Amino acid sequence: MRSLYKILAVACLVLGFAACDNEQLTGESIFVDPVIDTTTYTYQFDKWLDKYYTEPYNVEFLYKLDDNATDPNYNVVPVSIGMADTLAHLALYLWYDVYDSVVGPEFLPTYGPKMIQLIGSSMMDPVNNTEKLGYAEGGIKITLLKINKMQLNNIDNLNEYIFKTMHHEFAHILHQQRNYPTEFAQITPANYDPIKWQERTYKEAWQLGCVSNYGSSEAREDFVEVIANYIVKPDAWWDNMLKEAGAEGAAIINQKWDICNTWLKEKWEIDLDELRNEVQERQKNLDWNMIMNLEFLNGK
Amino acid sequence: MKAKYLVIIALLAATFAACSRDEESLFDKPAAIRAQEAITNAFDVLTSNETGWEMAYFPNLEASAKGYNMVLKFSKNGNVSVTAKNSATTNNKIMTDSASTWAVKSDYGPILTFDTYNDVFHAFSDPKEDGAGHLGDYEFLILKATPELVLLKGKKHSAYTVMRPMKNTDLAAYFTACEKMQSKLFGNNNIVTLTQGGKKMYLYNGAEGQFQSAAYGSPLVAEAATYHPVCSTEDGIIVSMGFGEDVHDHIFYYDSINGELKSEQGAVMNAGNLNVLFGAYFTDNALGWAVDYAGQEAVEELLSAVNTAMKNTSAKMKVMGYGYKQSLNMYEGGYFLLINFTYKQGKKNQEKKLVWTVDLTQNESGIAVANAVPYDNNTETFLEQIPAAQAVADLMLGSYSAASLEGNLFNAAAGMKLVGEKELVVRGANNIKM
Repeated sequence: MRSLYKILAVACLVLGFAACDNEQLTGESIFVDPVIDTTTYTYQFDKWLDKYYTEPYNVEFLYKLDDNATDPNYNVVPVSIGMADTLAHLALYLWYDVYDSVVGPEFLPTYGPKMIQLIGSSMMDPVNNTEKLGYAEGGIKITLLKINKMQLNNIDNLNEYIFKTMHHEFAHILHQQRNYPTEFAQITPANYDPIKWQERTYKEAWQLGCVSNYGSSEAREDFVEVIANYIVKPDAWWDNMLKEAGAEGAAIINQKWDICNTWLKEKWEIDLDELRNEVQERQKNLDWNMIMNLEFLNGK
Repeated sequence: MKAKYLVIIALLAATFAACSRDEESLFDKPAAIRAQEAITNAFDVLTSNETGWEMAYFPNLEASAKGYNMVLKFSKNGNVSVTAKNSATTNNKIMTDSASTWAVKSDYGPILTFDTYNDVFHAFSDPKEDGAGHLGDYEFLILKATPELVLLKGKKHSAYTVMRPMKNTDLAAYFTACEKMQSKLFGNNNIVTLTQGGKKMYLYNGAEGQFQSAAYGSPLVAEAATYHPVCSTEDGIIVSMGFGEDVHDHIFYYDSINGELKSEQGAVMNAGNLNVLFGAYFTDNALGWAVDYAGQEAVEELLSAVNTAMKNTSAKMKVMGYGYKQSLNMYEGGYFLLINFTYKQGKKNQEKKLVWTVDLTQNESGIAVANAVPYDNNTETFLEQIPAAQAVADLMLGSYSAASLEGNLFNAAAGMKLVGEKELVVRGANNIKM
């Protein structure tokens, strides 16, 4: 009798659960992408991105904008296909191929971002008078902004808005994976102002021991600004900065540079000067035909 | 033993309870399948129309928002071509960009996205230097997708945008036709009475992409107006938000025979009751009616008499000719009749501005103007010299019923007839100065 109860009880439970399974899940995806086959408008570019980014570097190059992937507090627009194409070539020339040459071909596939997102406009904050040009998330994703406004024949514009942002965000990706030294934040903690940094001029920031006014906002921005500015700005700019900073400001900047340099060497085996020389040499030679034809890859 | 029975009963109850969710579904297919079908349907609808789509684009719900015409062609390969012509983004030239992409994707519903930059389309969503620009959307929730109509709602800024199949294959002709409709319906101080679901309101002061509204029968005071974005099309107008609380009559077709706009849901825009409209046109900010006596025999006789009287009463005044303007307007809550006599004294052109107060009553069934009383000393003095001038003011007095002038139901500047014992023509006038 006891076993009969058990059988009945089990039967009831089985029936109970069986009653719940009458809705079949199908294998069909709810997502339909109309642009996935070889006949799509962007097929050639997508194939190119696959060949030069996804295959060698394991990175997804996101140029078609999904508004959900942006900060809803800002109004933005997508990048144009033409500018995305140009930026993709430029990033290979001034970033990916540089690290391949200087640090080694395994470096970026291992530690580089897994996603690069392009956005056509910047993120303007008219209330605080700030403009966001890029951001790095979770050590895996870099977003580059204002790509539609690239002035291809204006090296200063490219330097300030594109090249510097690239190296700035990549430095974030690196320290998001291996922390930067805590002593860095202790050098000028009282000078950081995350709210009103934009009211400082560059010269004021230099005199406070920061390489840019944005660098004077907080320590982690200061850290990557030292690296990014050092990489992309020419000698004359750097020397002028140290001069204008005054003895005290220059000493602080040099102290910060030493920490960045040591951290890159010890944590990442990157020679900052070697990296800088390579970038600067390439920046001097912005031959668009050469870049768009990938001649710098030498058939790689 | 009892406990065991209880256990079995409880388990049986649970067993059958587990089946209670086996109710008939409200939908015939699972949600995932329905979502996929909605996306596929939208994609098919948008790409199956070879002549493209006319889009009435509304960037946002702000008071300053306007409506803009665009023409779009969606290709199956994900390419989209966008053409527009407006003063805000294309400098009033026809501009096309065919080098960008679109897609239908799933989010919290099927979404139409323009996911790479298009010079024409994204000009409305580009944040510019102020971080806002025109505050337009480039991702839209697809609310409806049929071969006849696609209804979209901006994902971020929430304005409704409407697409219909293009009928005109000549883009230049299309934009010209839209502009003509714009000036026909909203140019020159047009006022439209919207009747929708038993409610009425005025729409007026239409400019490119926008018009104002005011409560029915109330003065058309600009400060109190609500702004509405509008797109004029070849066959009427399209609005983003509709005018009812729950009613969204987006499309109004122009009926050239009756000179009115009608929505499929039964809303009508036309001149409405002209007796009421006559009253609404009086405002403190100097909107009024100019009375047109030109060519009327009685007026000519009166003016001749006034002229003679002027010659006789002043030795110094040598009247060479005359003209006059007469207008009815409201000032500080009262109604006034203004008559400007212009005449020649020697070689000099002179002007005499005379003002009377009048009693004006107006309702749905008619208009009555009575008791023209001299308002100021200037008028009284003139009337003492030339009593015949009072008769010109008295010409306005009487009971009337307003009627439309042939050919234009909407246009206050074109005017209306006041029909009574005599028939007057009045035309909407701005800046009537006391």
